[in-house]
Amino acid sequence: MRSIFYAVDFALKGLLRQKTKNLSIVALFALIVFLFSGIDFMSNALYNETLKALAFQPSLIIQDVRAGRQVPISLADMADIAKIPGVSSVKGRVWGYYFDPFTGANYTIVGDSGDLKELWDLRAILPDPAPSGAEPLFLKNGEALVGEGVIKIRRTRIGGVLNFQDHTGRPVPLKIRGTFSSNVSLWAHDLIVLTEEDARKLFGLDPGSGWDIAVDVPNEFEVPKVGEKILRINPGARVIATNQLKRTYGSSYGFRSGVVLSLNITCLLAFLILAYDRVARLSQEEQREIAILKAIGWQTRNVIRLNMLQSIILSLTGFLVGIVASYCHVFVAGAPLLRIVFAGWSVLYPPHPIPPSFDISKVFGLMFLTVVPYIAVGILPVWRAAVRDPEEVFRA
Amino acid sequence: MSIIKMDRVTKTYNPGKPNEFAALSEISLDIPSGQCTILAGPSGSGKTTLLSLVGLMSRPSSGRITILGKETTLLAENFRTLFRRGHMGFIFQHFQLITDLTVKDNLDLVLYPDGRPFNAIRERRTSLLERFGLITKRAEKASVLSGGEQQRLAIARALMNNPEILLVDEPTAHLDTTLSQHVIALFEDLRNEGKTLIIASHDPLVLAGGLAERVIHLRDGRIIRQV
Repeated sequence: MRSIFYAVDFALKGLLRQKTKNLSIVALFALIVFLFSGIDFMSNALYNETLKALAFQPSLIIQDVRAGRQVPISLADMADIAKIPGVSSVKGRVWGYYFDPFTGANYTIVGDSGDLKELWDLRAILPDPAPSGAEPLFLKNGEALVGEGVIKIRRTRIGGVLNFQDHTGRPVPLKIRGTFSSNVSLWAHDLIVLTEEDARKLFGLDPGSGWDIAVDVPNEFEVPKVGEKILRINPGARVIATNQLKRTYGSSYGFRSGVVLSLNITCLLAFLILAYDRVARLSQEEQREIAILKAIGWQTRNVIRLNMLQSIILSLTGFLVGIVASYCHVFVAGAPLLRIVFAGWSVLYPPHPIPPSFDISKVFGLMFLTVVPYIAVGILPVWRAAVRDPEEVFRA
Repeated sequence: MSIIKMDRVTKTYNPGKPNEFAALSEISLDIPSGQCTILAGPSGSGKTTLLSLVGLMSRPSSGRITILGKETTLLAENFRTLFRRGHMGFIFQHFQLITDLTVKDNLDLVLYPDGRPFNAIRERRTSLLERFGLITKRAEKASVLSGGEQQRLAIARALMNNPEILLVDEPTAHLDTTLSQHVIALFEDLRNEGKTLIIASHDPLVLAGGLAERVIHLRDGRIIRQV
C-alpha cells in the first residue's frame, strides 16, 4: 500500500516536471471528451424531453392523406371510432403552423376546446375577468397563451396583442393571456394556444373537420388492434401510434447525433494517433530516466505502474474536465455550440437551459473508449524500455 | 572471503555484426569482502563494462558471475533488479541523477519500491544528507547543484539502501583536485565501515592514495596485472 502511495507521489512529481506538455495533453483529452459527451448529453436530454411531451399525446393519431400529403380530416367518423372496444376518448384536434412574415418565424397553433387547461403549467396569466362563482373559462375567443419565444420575437408582453391574419387575409387580433412555464419551454417555446373557434378561423377549417383525430386507448396492448379497426372504418387514413413517434424521435436524434459523432470519431482517431505517438516513442530522456530507476533497483512492474499511474492521472483529469465542461455547456449554457445540430428548422429555437438528463452508462462507455486506450498504448513502450539493461541505455 | 567471483567472463557487443567487439575477454577474478578494489586502465579497457556486469546491469556473453554466493548469470531480469536493490549501490561516471527532481526526491526514489515507512526513509535520507553536507540543499533541484555536490548526491543515493557492495565508475572524472581528494576520503570512510568497493578509475590521485587494497589493471578487455 505504501509503495502505491509513493508511486502516486512520484507520478505526480513526474507530471509536474513537464507542466506545459501534460497540460496540453489534458486539454486535448478534455476537448475530445467534451465533443463526444456533449452530443450524447444533448441527444439524451432532447429525447427525454420529447418523451415528456409525448406523454401528453394520445395513444393513436388519425390523419387523412391525399397524394401522400396530410389534409384536414372529416370528424364524421369520430362516433364510430368511439364505439371501438378499448377506446376511452376520441377528440378532433385543430392545430397547425402559422408563418409570421414580420419575424420569419413559424408558430405552432393549437386550438383549445377547453380540455387543455390541465396540461399547461402556466407561469404567468392575466386575472380571469369572469364573475366570481361562475365556471372560469380558460380562454376566450380573441385570447391566446403563448410560448416565451413568441413573446421575445414579437417583442411583446402579457396583455399585448398579436395581429395575425386568417387564410383569406382578414385580421385576427389575439390578446396574450399568459405564457408557458420554462418546464415545458423546450416544446412550448413557439406554441400559441387559441380557442378552437379562433384556430378554425385562422386556418379556414370548417366545424366538421379537424387537422387530426386523437384517440386514447388506456391498455397499450390494445393499441395495434384498435388501429386496425380504425383503418377498417376509414381505409384511407394514416394511423400513428405514439410509440411509433417515440421510436421516430429516438432515431431522429440518434441520426443527428450519429452524424456529429462520426465527425468526432475523426477527432478521436487523431487524438489516439497523437497519444500513440507521444507514449509509444519514448524520448532519449525518458528512456534514460527509466534506466536510472532500473539501476537504483526499480523492477519492471514498478516502472510500468508509475507510467500507468501517470497515464491514469492525465487521462482521468482530462476526462473529468471534459465531462464537467460538457455538462455545463449543455445544461447550464444551453449548448450554444451544438444547438444548431438538434434544433431543427424552427426560427424559434428552444431556450436555455436544457433540463439535465444523461445516461451514466454512456459516460462510462466513453471513459472506456478514451481513458483505457490511452493507458494501454503507453504500457508496451515503457515495458520495452524497462526490460532493457540499464547499461545498454546509458551506453546509447 | 570472496564476495564476488567472476569465472571466465566475456562480454561481446554486437555479436555477429560487422561492428562486433569484445569489451571483456575471459576475465576471472575474486573480490574479497570489505576491501577496496580499483580497476585501472585507459579508456576502452573494459573497466565500466566490468562494473556493469558485476552490478547486474548487463549480462555476460559467456562465463559466470557469483555474488554473495549466488550465481547471477542466469537470473531473470526482475530478480537481478531485486538483487541489485538489496545488495548494491552504483555511482555512475555521469552521476545519472534525475536532474529536475529535488535532492530529497532523488534519494527517496531508491526506497520507494520497498514500501518502507516514510519515517524510515526520511531518517535514512536525513542522515545521508547530513553526512555528505547536502542537508541545506535538500529542496533544490539536482540540476542546480555543483559538480561536487552532484557527485556527493550520487554517492548518497548509492548508499540509501545500505548496500554491502559499492560500485563506482570514474568518481573523480569531473572534479578538481581538492574535490577529488574529498571524495577519495569519503570512499576511505566507507571502506573502513566494511563496505566492499570496486572503483573504476584511471585517475592517478585515486590510484596513488592508500584507498585500495588491490589494483587490477585492464587493457583491451583483459587483466594484464594485479597489484
